[in-house]
Amino acid sequence: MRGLTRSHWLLGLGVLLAIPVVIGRTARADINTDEPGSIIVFPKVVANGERDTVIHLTNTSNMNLGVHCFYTNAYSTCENDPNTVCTSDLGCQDPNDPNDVCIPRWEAFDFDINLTPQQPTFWRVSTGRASDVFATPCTGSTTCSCTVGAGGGLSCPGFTSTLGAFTPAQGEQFIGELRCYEVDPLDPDSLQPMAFNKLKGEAFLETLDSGEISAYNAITVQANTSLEGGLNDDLDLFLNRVNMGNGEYNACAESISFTSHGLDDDAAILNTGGEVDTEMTLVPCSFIESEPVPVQVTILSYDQIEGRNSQSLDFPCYFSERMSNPNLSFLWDADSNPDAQFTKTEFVVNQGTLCWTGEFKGESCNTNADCEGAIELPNSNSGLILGCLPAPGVFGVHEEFYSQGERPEGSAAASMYNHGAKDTDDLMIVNDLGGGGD
Amino acid sequence: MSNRTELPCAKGLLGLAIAGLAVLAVAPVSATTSDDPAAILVYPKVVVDTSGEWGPPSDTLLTITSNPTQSAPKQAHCFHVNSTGNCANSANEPCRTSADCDNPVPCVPNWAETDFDIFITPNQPLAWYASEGLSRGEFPIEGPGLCYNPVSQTYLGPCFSQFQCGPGYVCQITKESGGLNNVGSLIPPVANDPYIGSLTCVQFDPASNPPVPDTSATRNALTGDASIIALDSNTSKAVDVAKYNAVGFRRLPEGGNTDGELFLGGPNAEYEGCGNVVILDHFFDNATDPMSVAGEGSNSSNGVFTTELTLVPCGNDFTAIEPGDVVAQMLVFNEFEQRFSTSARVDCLYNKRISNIDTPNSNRSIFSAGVAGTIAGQTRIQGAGGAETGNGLTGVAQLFVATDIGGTDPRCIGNTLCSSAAYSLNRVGGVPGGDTLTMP
Repeated sequence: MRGLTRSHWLLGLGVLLAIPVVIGRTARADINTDEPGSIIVFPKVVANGERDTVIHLTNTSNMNLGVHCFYTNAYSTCENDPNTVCTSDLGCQDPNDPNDVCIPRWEAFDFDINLTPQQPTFWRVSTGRASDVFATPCTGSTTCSCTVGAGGGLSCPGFTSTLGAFTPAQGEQFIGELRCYEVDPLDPDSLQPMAFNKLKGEAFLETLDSGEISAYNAITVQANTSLEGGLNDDLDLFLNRVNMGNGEYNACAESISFTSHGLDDDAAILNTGGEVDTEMTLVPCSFIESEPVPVQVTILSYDQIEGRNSQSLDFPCYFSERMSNPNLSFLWDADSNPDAQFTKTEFVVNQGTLCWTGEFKGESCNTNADCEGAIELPNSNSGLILGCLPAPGVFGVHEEFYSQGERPEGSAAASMYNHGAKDTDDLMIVNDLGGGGD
Repeated sequence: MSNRTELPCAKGLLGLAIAGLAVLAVAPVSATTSDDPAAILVYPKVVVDTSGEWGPPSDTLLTITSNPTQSAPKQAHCFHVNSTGNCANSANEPCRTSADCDNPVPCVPNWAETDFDIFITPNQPLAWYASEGLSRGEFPIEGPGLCYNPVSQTYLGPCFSQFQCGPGYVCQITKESGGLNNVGSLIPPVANDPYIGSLTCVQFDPASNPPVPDTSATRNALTGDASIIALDSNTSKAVDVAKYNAVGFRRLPEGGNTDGELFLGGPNAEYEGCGNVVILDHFFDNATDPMSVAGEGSNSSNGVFTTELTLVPCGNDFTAIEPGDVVAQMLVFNEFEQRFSTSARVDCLYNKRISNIDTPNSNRSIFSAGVAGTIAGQTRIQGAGGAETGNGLTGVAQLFVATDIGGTDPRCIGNTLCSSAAYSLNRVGGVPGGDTLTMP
């Protein structure tokens, strides 16, 4: 498994007054969850001993499909409280310890899958799935279930064409994302992207003690299938296509949003009262295997009378916090503001440029010279320097947790809505560490 | 708000809907979306059962939000589509299938439509339970307000609408909404309890008199979602919530008119169309949850999957009280690439456990893991039948996983308690002739 030494985080937090934010709405983004695509992203993947995730992935075409995937593990802990798992400083800061920080972890691990025509498949994240060409199919007289294989991974009825581990086990300290893209099925080691637009998938998160499940559709990005102006031969994948113009993959959204309960101690749950908390998970549209990409967004919350609050948010690579986080809860506090029983939450992407690496990582910049120490990618075919680059877009998922009295938490997940399309590029660098997949 | 009388759903003849369909040589690309603001929202599955006649007490929390790029109110003209049947021996006994009837009698399908209007201010989220709706006085911005002149910063008397203020004055109910409000909105509760049906909302332009389908620059402003909530009487059981995004149809930038006949895709497209094929990723019924494998950390040793599929036609004729009527042809693939097929008729709403689609004996179904042979599956669904309202289909899936807590829940195989999660279907291509949604 390829790991990475920690990069310096620059996490800032500011509170803005309600200032009108004017965003030039351009064409719609074609990032979506209900159409097969060439890049597929599962922003919320959890395997932490309390919850686990089953990934369902399907090839919707009538031909073999090569898929190159990256697990990115952002399972981090607080500096002053190593028993607290975090994905940002917000998860560590509380009134008792306002200065605690989250020691970042960023580990990307890549692997390959080969899907046969119209093949659906699945695996469990913590255990992975063993490749077992001798696994017998289920019959009516037997229970159709997976078993623990000889190597510890799950062996399940079904056909997996890869020798060895079909998908790698991630254990029980994984919080992060899964991201895959289509590659040449005849030469997957080349990592050469293909524009078939045939991948779809879903993630099923389960709380192991209670069996409560949530599901969300994976986010897909369509590739430009044109021979001219579409994908090129390099391994720098640009998400820069707006409308039907030139570009490699469809552009990310200018902002994403969802509607949910606000924070309410007495939320109406059918005819009784209870509490609802919402966990918001964001990952950058851009991806670099060796480096977490800094993200800057503005959170806007609207209550039912259009009252608005806002807060800026910086995070490196992965963000997953609940509305009840003390540093964020004011945005949705229905106890003090009854009109916030239901809210619209919008994450607006920074329109400027940031230093992606170097001494000033995450800070605004004008040129690469402003980003001292920026990394130059030796394997980037575009000659890319991870210096002053456009702030990345974001993908997001939200998950609501319902609690009432002594009942276990119930949960439900859904994707977020896209608004507009960025006119700056996002990119996926899939070969910055060199070599093919493991 | 207006009501339409009930009409038996199962008809052998097509309705009298006016359709402008033509068969294209090349199928257009579908673009229905559950990820972008749109002009038409379809919530395929709305369930109400507050007294627990069909299973644990349930209700559906519906939301609708306006997401305009300019500050302008939006109007959602909505239709509750009631697909609740009644037992053949009792008109007052609602049912989904014959299994819901006390005696083994058929469940007579019905279809009825109720329409209403919601006026939404920019960025405003609205939410209501399907069993309750929202009455006047329950909307967030209804007033009374005060007539306010932003130039002179003076106030006149109270008001409920702009028409009550003189020139230069706006009826300001809240400062934040700048005079925009929800006055004129009314959301009725669904007609039955228990109930199963769908909800369709079309974005109108309230600035027109009378309001017509919105063709303005902010014509695609609506987003929405549904949370199906079940609360079992067993307090050791969690609140079960299954949430899905409404399916959206975006209004095209050019072409079409503002009459009540809406063309979804096809040669005269005014809105983006339905998918020619919708794809359901699923686990085969009766398969064991991979989280439940002994020794792998799960305490749920009962975890057996079942999936409920809900399909609705994309086209409907609310004027002639004629629901869409489509034959759903299904190709089912397992992990061995083996293929099975079946079909089902979708008239107004189809809601069934997948292992009961082709047979009442789920153990013998092609959707059963014991027949399919693997745990993971893919089902490709294509509409056919030549209905004048079109062959397009859309829908939602709800996965149920049995939990380890004692109790009963008829939603799950084995009648064990279970939890559920909802997710959207994928769509590919476009229906060649498009679909038609006709409104009064």
